[in-house]
Amino acid sequence: MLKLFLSSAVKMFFYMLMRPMWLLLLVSVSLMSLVYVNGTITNLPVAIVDQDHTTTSRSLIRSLNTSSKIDVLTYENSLQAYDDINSRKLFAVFTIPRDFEKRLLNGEDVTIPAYGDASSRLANGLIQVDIRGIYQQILTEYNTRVMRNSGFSDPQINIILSPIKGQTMPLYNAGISFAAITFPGLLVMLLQHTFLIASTRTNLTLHSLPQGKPPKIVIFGSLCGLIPIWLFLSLVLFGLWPWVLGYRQLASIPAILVMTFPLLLGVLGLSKLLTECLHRTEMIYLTLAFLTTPVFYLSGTIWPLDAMPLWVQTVSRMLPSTWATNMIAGVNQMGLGLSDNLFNIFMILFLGAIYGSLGFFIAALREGKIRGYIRKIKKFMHSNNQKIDNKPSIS
Amino acid sequence: MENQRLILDFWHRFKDAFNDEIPDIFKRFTFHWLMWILPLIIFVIISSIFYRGVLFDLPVGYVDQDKSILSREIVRDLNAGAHANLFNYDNQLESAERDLEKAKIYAILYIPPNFEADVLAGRQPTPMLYYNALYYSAGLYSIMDYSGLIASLNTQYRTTMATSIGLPVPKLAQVNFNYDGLFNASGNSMYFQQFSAVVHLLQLFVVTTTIYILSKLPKRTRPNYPFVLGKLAPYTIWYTMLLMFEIAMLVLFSDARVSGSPFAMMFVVFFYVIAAQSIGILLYTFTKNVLDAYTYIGVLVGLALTYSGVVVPELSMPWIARFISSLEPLTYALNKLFDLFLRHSSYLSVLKTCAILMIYPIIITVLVRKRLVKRLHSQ
Repeated sequence: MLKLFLSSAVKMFFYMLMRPMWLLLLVSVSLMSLVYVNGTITNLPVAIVDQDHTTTSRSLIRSLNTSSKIDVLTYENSLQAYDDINSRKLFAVFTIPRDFEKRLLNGEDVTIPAYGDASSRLANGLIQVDIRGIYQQILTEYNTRVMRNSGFSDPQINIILSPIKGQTMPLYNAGISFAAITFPGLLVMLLQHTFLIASTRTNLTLHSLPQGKPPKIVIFGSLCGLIPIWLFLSLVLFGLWPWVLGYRQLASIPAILVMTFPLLLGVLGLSKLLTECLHRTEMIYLTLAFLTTPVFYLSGTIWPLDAMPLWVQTVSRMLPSTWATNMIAGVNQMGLGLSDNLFNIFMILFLGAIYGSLGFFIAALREGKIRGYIRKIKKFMHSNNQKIDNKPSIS
Repeated sequence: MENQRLILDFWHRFKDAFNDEIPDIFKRFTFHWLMWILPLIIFVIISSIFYRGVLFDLPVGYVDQDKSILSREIVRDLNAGAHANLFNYDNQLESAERDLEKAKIYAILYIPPNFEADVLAGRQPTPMLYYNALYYSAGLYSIMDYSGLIASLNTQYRTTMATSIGLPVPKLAQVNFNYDGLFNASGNSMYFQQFSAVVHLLQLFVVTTTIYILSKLPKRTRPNYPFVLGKLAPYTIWYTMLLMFEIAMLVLFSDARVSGSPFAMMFVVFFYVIAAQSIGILLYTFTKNVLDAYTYIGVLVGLALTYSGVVVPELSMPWIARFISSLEPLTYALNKLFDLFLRHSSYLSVLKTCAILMIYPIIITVLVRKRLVKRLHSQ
């Protein structure tokens, strides 16, 4: 039995090595990563329409130019600037109003309107935070000058302008790398998706061999032969890739393997269910290929689960990838220990067991075994009843 | 004369194949599955995921080591803001940190001991708001109200501090920085994500259906290019209408603004579907079997969304990524559809996009013209 298991596992392993379609995953991830080479946004063209042309307005432009995220272009005409933002040549437009310096000196209210292109949510959010910080700094510098002229010393000015030094501190993705936001969920989804396709395809192929269905131990062995390949892929995706793209990677190689193994077992359970439901290899591609994007959105990395309706949360929690994303991002990027993730591991294995059992149940139902069991139970009950009826009664 | 005869012959073959296909469209369950059941299921799931649009009341932990009037005011006011819902961790910073790592909360407000006393003594204490920048949306929204709150408290305490120093505060600059988003159709920050996902997924469905139809062409027929086009044409119309329907639903549910013409939009969608079908033909023609063709769809179409400019703006991509982006039909279709929704887009620019999208079928026709028929025969 063990020999049969091992020989089919080894056979499948070498078959996969000889036909490395799974390398497509790495090709795909490599190509996807090109877009994140810069890490975060850099040098986005931003227009400044200077309607004031004073020392203060020029100093404001110089300060904005210090941000690495934007590349300041000075425009004379706001219509031209809005025309360019409309035709995607610019990302944002700032307008320094006429009499800006004069009103500033008189202590009057001045508003600097700025409009960014909201069609790119991440970039718009980052620019907004960056520019707001620069603006705060300029304002402080200006107010410092005013107060110095009124006889305040530098330490006094510092205290009066900001009695409370409120600070925000980004954790786990300090440079706000786009790749770090997208990749933890995306890579888990890709790993789950490719393994699900490979295992379901293997299952279906073995179930429809011309010489008949092989013994269960051969099927199980062949499926286990896939696992080392995907464990290797997990090392590349969760170990090597963060390093290549320059975001946090804290988990050791054994920890990555310990996290991926239950995920693969869970997905094996799901693949058993899908094998029984889909029944044709073609249907795998006509069904699973479309689910990658929704599964990624459901993982909770780019939009929190609490903000989804209950039924969507339920669907999300029924996917092994949701628990795996939480676990792998927690350990790999946020420094959690494996012991903190026992519940995640339990849930992945539990889901795998449920899906696997459902798959076996459907298979048994299809093969008529369930009917056989029911008949046997009925027969057993019937014979028991007869025995009771045949017992001589006292009356 | 010869050309006219060729065109007429092309037209007749195309028409016959088209008329032949129409009654068969919904005869098999797979067609129902690919043409409306699965697209609509996925549409409902994606729309439901982002149905709230903006994130409110995100869980934020706080550790108040001062428990003064001022520290309580900060906690109360931050909690009263729209984005954060504060939870007390007493003095257990470690436990709060653990929950932050487990993504049970998205930020921690830490108020140090002697906070109020330090403020009044002019020692400028720092209340820290740590946030999870890995779960970016939730992290960023949870700290949204904080800077405004601190700025208003600083203004409030400015006079008190000046009085203690013994000098009157001069008139300070009153500059408001007003940053707003342009081209935001609905006030929903995830609207574009949904919109692009719907347009992207349609491409996936079109490519898959095209390969499926080509693989199921009856063996008794003698395949030729007009015949193939005639077989695919009903699906071009169907998927154009399906995407228009999905966009209309999205606009309706998101209460989004539409400034362009829906007819121009339909033109763009029509040519987008044709471009996607030609990609399906290309994949089918240059792969040995249909399963390989399906396998490559994932790689090809998966890249389209990454490079479409929704995640990283095109203006900020490295040149190689910009080049790949310029090869994808999704990039042109998405940009033009966004433009038609929200920007001022001329009919000339719509025609230009349609012309660009037509380049795909033309080039692919040249590439597959001999091989496709061979491939169909070898099936």
